[in-house]
Amino acid sequence: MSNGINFAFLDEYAKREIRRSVIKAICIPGYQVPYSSREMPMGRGFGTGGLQLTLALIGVTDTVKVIDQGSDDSVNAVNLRKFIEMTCPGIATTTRLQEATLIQSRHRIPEQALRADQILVLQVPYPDALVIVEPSEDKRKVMHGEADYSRLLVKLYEDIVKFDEITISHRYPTRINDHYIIDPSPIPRYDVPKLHNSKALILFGAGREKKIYAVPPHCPAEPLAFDDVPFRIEDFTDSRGERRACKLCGSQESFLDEFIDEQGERVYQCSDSDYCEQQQELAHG
Amino acid sequence: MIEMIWQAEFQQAAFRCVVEAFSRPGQISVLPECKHNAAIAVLATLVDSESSLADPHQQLDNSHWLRLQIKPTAPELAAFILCQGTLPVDFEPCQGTLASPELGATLVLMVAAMNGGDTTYQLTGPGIETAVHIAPQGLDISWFKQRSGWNGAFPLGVDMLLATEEGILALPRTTQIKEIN
Repeated sequence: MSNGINFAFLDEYAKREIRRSVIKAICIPGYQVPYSSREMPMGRGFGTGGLQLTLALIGVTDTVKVIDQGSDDSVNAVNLRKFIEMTCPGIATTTRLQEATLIQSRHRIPEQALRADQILVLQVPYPDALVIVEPSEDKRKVMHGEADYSRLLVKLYEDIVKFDEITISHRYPTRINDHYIIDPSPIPRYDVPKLHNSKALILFGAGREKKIYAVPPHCPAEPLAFDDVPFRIEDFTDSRGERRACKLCGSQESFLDEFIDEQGERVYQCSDSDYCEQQQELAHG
Repeated sequence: MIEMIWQAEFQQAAFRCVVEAFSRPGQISVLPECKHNAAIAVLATLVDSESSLADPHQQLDNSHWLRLQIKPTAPELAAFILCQGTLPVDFEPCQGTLASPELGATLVLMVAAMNGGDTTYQLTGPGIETAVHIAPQGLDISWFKQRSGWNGAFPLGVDMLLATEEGILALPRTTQIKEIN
């Protein structure tokens, strides 16, 4: 990019405002810190919240990985990565988790464990878990402050009455440090336990809703559940009771995407493309 | 030539140290080299005309205020408060509101050293795997005493950052501090 554009696109005032919000987000785990969310040269809803966090954090020594639904090659990830490369001269990008210092993601937490020297930035469409039970933001802010989540628990209870189980597949409400309940962004249930006592700092950015929140490292994160109806993750066992495997790498431990191939067969494949490739490399030496 | 702490590249690197410090309370983060006290470098990184800063113990000179492009605010109202750790607490910082706890102040306390002090404190809470110990030098006992009152009703509270010449150590409002000798 030519002259006239600041390193990391945002001006220094915008970065400082995001930086101040990030610090408060870390100090009050799970609390949604409001911020101004500047206009970005892309539509809100394309990951502008996560992108602004990445741009406020990034420096020339960073190596960035951008993923969308576990893949480094899907449209959202490719375009965000290109934008970061274009506006942050000197930084490096990678698809390998182990090489990355900053990881921006949409809809997944990487399959392999994060390290303490990495920061995960998640793009968030709807930051407030209470929005399904309370339309007024003023009232939601007070409910969050008082940690009053009774109406959310009633909603989950109603699910159990109607369907015999909690029917939330992603964006599973999760309680951080025994106080605030967050919407952990549209990660599957499978990824929710990774928030608990994570080694890495996890930051959440909602650009359209203008909120930043955080789960600090080594911080308790408990998915909302009942004593007699414990939280459970996705079940990948087939009709014979065996754990399904990825058709590419054969892993029986990863989160799988289900799709129909050209022959009309139902097939399963790792959602995390980097993990899948690393497993295949290991198998082939 | 503008001094390093006012430049964007320094501030980005310093910010990452501040993030690291607040993510892992009790752990010392060393700021990139500059010719300033770490407390001043942190303020240069985080404060501008859209924020507010109090300097009750007159640690800043006129050139700092010119660079920050703001005027001093009363400590009761300021988002950031720069304090001299050897002096006792003489103000009541903003602790935020139930709906907006982020309005609780950030106190930057200048201390002589992070370790070697007479009293050892044990820290626990988010960001700390089991427990860490600190023994700051040049920190009046009133700071931690007052802090437990300010932080008595989570989510309200104040967040602290101890700063020496080169290093910083954070005590967010969630950190439990216990005197152990």
